[in-house]
Amino acid sequence: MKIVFDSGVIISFSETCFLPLLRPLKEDIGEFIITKGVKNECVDRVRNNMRLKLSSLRIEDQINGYVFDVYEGNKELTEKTNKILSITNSIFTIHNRPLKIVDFGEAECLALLGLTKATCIAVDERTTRMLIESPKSLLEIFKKKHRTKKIKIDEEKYQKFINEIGKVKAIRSVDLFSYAYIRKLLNNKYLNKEHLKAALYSLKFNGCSVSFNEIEGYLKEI
Amino acid sequence: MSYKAYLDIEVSNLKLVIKSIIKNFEEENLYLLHRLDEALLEKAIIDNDADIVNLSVVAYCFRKLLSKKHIINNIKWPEIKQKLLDSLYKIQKHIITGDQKAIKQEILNIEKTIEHTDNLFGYFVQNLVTNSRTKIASSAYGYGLSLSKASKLLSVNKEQVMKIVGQTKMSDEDETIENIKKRVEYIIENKAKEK
Repeated sequence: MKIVFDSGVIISFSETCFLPLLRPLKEDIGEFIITKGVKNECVDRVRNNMRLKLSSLRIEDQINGYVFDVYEGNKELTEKTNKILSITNSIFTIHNRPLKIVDFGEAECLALLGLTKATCIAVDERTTRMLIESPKSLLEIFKKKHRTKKIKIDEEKYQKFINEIGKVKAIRSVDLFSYAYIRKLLNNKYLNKEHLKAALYSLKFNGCSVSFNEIEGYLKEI
Repeated sequence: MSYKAYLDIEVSNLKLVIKSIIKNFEEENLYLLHRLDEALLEKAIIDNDADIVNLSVVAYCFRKLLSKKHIINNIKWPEIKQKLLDSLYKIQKHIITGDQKAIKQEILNIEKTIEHTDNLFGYFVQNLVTNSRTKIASSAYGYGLSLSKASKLLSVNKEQVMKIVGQTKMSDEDETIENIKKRVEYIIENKAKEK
């Protein structure tokens, strides 16, 4: 199975010291792919920022250790990225003006899905995930925050977007960690519910878009 | 197109925006500075405009400075306040002449003065301007912008925005489309299919 990673999930794992878990996850699941842009965002761009340097070094170790395959950019990726960027940033309009909600980095990850025939994107932030799974939920967020009903979704453009990325699923850092727990990929001493709970909360507090109810609900089910 | 945020603050006219910032900064009206920074952020998101966002940052920082007693009670504060106001008056003049470059430079000067003030009197390592930008970026994410989009608009690091987002209730207010169990099951099923 191939998973394209957005930088957010990698950052979440780094900030919660779960990066070493990525190797057993990759060996169990399949291929973990990132764009050069994601590598740049997680490693190169923050290398000289002392607040983020440790994180960048840890992530660089994972890349150098072949946990992630870095997709070398090419003309095809750039063209597809620009196409997806153009489409996604005109799916929603407010007072008939397009709402630009997605940046190049996210569009590039989405573009990579089709090019690598990956069926899954690992993303912790909610906009990209909701765009794939439930654009109407995203529409409701826009309407609520902008306090107007004059926000529309262009269904035809949305369908174009889906055609570009194919049938894909979004997973988050909490889902990957829970998968590692279920598959017993964690160190034995962490194979208990208290550690799982602590880990899921930690990922949430580091920016993964998951609710308290969802975490508690999951802990009751397993 | 005229755009008014709620509470009737006109933010489409730059002249009125600067006039509003000056008035509320002079009068130390934290509430209206707050309404201004919110209205400016909303407009910046709709227009995808980093210049408008910078004004939101300025209004936000002014509010923060005014809320810190150890800064406004300092004997140097009147001089700093006047320096900030002078920059705003210059912006007013540049708006009349239409000198966009000079307007951007003055906004930059205001940020530098705020940073300098914060370095002199503040208690924390990370300065007020960076903190403000990061917090506003998290608000922009709350409006539905992607994390990268919000971070780029405010020129801040994604990691720091994630930390702030993680402290908010945003995720708890969102609808759960598919829960953890379903997503884990997806990985298990698809991993098996693709082997």
